[in-house]
Amino acid sequence: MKHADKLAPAGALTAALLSLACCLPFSIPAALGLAGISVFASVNQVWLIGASFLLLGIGVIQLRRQPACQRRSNTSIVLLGVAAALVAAVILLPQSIAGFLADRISTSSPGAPALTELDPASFAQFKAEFNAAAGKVRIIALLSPT
Amino acid sequence: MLSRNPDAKVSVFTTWEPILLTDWSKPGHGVLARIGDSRVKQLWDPKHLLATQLAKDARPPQPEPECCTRDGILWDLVAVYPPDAVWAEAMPAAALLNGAVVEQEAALEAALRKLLH
Repeated sequence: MKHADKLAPAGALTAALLSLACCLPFSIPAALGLAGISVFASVNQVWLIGASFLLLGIGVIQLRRQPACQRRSNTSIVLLGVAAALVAAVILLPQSIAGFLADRISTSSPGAPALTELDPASFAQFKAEFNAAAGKVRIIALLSPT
Repeated sequence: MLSRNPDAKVSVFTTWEPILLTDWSKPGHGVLARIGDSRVKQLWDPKHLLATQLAKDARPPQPEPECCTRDGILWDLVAVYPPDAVWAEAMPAAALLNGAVVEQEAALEAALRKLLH
């Protein structure tokens, strides 16, 4: 098959990106009509990452086993390299990549949550808001974006 | 937790702070959208003002967290304050203070039930 050597890296990349569907805000896959993918990915994330590695390995073997007389396709080599880099990024920085994708996909969606930056001035405002919410249970969560 | 308690009288202050090497910018829309509840206010604290204040004002009877510092900065923890708590000179004592956040779901629900009833 003419493009068989490109299928494995493309599959690896697809599996790696699919594994991120779990970590995107649910509204994004839902908006794309792919809500089921989010559930599928969260259940099968380990398998999807395993499939990425397997397909990358197949891609490497396909390239190495090409007969010496047959010229290696630059496109295949580049595609395999890009796929390997992206799979590594997805595995090492899943939340960063998911956040990046989510930001790019969902910029046009309405009702973007507001974010208030805390500085010495707004910190006093935050204290006032905390006290203004008396009568309710108040929860403070300290989190890292990634 | 919030979706399971839609009528709970709760105000949540989700404070994002740069802790990890990958936290090179404030959280984007995708990150913020993970917590889509009108009772939540989201804050970006690049200078760790709130974490510093929490650590400075920690005192009994506030529980000691079992984890949750990196380079001396509090993170990945949740603090729960009763309805009558007032932040005067110092922050009030939290009824629950612990992390990691993802492991506190049951404790949070229990604290909510206790403080709201």
